[in-house]
Amino acid sequence: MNRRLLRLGALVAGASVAGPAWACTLCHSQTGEAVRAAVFGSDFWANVGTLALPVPVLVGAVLLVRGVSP
Amino acid sequence: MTERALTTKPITTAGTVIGIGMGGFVDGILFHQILQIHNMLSARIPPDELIGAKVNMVWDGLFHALVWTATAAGIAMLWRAMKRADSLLSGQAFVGALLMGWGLFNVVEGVIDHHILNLHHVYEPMGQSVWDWVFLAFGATLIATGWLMIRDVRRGMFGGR
Repeated sequence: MNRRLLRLGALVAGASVAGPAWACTLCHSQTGEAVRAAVFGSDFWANVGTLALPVPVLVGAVLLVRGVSP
Repeated sequence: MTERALTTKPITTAGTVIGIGMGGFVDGILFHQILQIHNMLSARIPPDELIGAKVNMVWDGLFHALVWTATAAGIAMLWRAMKRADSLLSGQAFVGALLMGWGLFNVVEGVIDHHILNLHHVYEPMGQSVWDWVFLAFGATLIATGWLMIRDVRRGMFGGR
């Protein structure tokens, strides 16, 4: 019983790993390559930094709220 | 044995963090996805053709990952707050903190992303516009409302001090 369940699990896991490769319509296209080139361009880390910049400010604000809460 | 004084700090901290996360989801789901009036980098990378739209979609996804993480962290904090003996489980303080978190998200994200870094604007076709100020004003109103609700709980605890 356990072996059958294991085989079924392996089959489902295999299918779920293989699925996205077939379902991804743009992964192997020129559009996909252009998107990856644009995302991982020279400004990638600058964009990550700007995306994350509000995080420390918000953490500080949460600590302030905690400090003034009754 | 001495009893520890009740405090709203654990629940307001959790509520504020959840509010920040859910405020981010309102922005991302309503403005980025449903209305599509801006995206994460739409002032730098116009999303009006396929590649630009998909690049913005990636950054929108990373933004959603951040606000999901904030929400999950807030839920964990709420769980811990529920188990603390000195935690005052006030619904009013919790809802006030949720509103405060949402407002904090709007103000901090609005000032940094809309006004300082110019990553995007609320209504991108207009660039920086009155809508960016409305976004900030709405955030400030949420913070004030949330704080008044929490302060009201304080009055109940300490008799107006």
